[in-house]
Amino acid sequence: MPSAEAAAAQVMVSQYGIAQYVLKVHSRCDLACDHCYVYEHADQSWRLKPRAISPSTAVAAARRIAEHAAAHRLRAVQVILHGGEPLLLGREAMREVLVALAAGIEPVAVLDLRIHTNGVRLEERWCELFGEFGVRVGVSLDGDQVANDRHRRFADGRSSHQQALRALGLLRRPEYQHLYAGILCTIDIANDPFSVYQALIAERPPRLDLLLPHATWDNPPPRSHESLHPYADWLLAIYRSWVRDGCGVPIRVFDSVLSASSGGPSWTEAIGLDPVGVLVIDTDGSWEQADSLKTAYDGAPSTGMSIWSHSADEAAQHSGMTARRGGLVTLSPACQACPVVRICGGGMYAHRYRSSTGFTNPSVYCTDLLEMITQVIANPPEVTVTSREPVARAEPRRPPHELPADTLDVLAAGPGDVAAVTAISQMRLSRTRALVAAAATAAGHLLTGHLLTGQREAALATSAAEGWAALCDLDSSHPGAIAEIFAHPYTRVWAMRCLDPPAGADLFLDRAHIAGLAAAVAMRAGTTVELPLPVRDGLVHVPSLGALDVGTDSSATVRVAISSGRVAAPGGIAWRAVRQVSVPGLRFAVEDLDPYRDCQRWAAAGRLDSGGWLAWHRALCGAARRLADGIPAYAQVLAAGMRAVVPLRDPPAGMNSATSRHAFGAVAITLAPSLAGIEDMLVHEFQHAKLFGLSDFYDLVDNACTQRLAVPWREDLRPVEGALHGTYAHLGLAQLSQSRGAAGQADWLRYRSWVADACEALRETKALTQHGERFVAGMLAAIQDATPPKSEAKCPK
Amino acid sequence: MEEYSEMIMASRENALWDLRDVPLARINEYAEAKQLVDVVMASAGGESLIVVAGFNSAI
Repeated sequence: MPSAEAAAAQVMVSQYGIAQYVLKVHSRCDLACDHCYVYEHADQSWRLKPRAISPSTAVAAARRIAEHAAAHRLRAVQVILHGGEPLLLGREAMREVLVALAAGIEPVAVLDLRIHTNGVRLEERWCELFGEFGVRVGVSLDGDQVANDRHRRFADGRSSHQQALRALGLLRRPEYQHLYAGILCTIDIANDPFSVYQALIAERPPRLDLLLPHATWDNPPPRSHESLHPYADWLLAIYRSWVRDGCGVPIRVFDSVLSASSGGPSWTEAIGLDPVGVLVIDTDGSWEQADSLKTAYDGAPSTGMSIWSHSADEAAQHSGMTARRGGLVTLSPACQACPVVRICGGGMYAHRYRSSTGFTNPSVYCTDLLEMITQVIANPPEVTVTSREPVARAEPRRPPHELPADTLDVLAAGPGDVAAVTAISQMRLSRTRALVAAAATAAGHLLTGHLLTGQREAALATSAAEGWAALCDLDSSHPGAIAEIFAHPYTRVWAMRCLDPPAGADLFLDRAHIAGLAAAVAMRAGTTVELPLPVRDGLVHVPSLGALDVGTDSSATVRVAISSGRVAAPGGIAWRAVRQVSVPGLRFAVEDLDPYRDCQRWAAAGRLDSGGWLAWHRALCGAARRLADGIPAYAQVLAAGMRAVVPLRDPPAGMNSATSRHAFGAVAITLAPSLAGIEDMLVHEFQHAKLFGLSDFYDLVDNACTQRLAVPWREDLRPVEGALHGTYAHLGLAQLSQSRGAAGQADWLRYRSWVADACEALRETKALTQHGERFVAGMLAAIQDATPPKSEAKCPK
Repeated sequence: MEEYSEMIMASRENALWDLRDVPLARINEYAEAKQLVDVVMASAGGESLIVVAGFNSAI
């Protein structure tokens, strides 16, 4: 691996750590399956290993795992007890191992214990022991008796089928059901897939693994002469039955393909490009790589390290481990050029091996993987499978966002400060990242469900998929530009719309917008990408920056080239930039292009023509200057948090302005006839924005409360949260009026009275939380302590 | 009110995770991300929550 890739892999280890361990507790087996990779394949290291793990080895293993989990702040680690056949260890010795693992690891991280057994020796007393330590049990079964007997026999040739069925029956009993993890089935294409599927489903497993038999280019798997992809044919026969049955039992290989196809995790090293994060500890305490490598060559899994002398970090840096975390660039050229590479990931690492070229080859199952993935994506189930896999990977605990200690009081006093607004913005950024990723995943499922419905849908689906892939790539290379686009107020609005589409939404068009986000990141970063962007009313949108007029509505997408901060496309006629207002101390966009800006109840205006833009520009510049000069405390927080003003359509009479809870940083206003009126609306609306942000950190109101109260500024009764918002908005207006001196005196008196009365009414509701009471007390103090405007107060023209 | 406040703060703490440095491609693997999404989506249309505020709006 080139050094840069090795360095990247190193970062992945230090960032995520290893959260999955296979602990070999016994190196021998009571069956003699002729397809077993431990005894029958290239690596024969088992011959040199102790039969059973010793108590001291178990303690040392637990110490190494805990040390690593603590260093990487891992929330949970999974330890899979394995063999050989692990039950050969015996119950008492097994208890010692379990005690050692629990005592060593549980103080540091949640311990997820599993065991994988052939089931032959499983009986009640084992289940009692596993129940005591919460060990979940997976059992090997290759299908019906004919299928299972093909390989899974005792050394004297006897069948193990009945013993396995008895073990599974035991795990289905109510008292042990919670221990039942699932069934692992190794595929043999000589078996009838439908019979195998029926036999496995009959055992009611919580999860089913269908495993390709380990093979390499040197020792390829058995193949039929009737098909180029017999393993795909076999799996797809089961897939069709599974889909027809409603996908009731999770089957990992299919769930993985569907998840990876939508940008989600693959949950298995056999599929996808996710970094591999599993280490094996053998019975002698040696660190080893994945067992599957035993099929490659003798000694392939070895690292030359052991828990007695090396940490998990050191084992994870072994070249064999880092080689498997390099992602796309480390795959063979044929894989990198393959259309399904992001789903397949090159298949299982061991299956790529050829003695002459190592592991830089496509999988020996390449034709099968391509066919299986293509067919699964083209024929997805109706049900969503993304959330079926429990999150149990190498995730460090995430620290929470925190507000400065005095933020609630500082905001309650009126303008707040830059630190508070910045903290709110950062927290919103985390949420938007989560929402965008969730929307992209949801998009994948929707799109795979409709890939064949038409050319337009297919083009938009491609746009969404390429957009998501590009966004993920840019995320690591240009974090600053990513943060800018994710802070754009309508990125979050878009993501929420994808996750909860309104009736009549154009789902494909909405989801393809992610390509526009990626284009915007690339444009801000000055990097080069090519992406198919969706066309809306003849425009392709690059959110927060502008839109390119492509002069056509007949194409669903247009391939756009972004380079050096410029955008070009075939037929591109004119670039319409998002325009900016900039005065000393305050700069924001006038957003009249974003397709998701119309979310403020009052309808957004269309693109401003030159005359309209001049009027808006003049008015907003004037109002911004007045704010900067007259009430700098408000101007400073606006500068820190307000990114865009959205022009609203002129109402029949009066003025409208609005702020969406979800579009932090945007305020929507109509063009008021006076600069003071615009100033009022900017201050008023940003008060709402700050309060929405503060409400993410603190519940101020018991939202279960249905009480309504009278407020001075409206005739109808208002919900408590609405009254709180109105009070805070009018506190801003009172302080703005105060800054205007004599010219603002009448307004100040009116707003002051409104705020004081509303604060008292809010207190009487008893619907405020402790923090809500503190916030209202702060507003009341701010208004009561304020001095009336002085005639000599600054009043900008 | 004290009990209520503590309960709510506990749930809020779970929804403030800092995910800014988690790679976008892997963020869905984090339980914290799902919590954030759930919290935000729950605020999208709750009857007792104000979604849009402003002049002549819902204040």
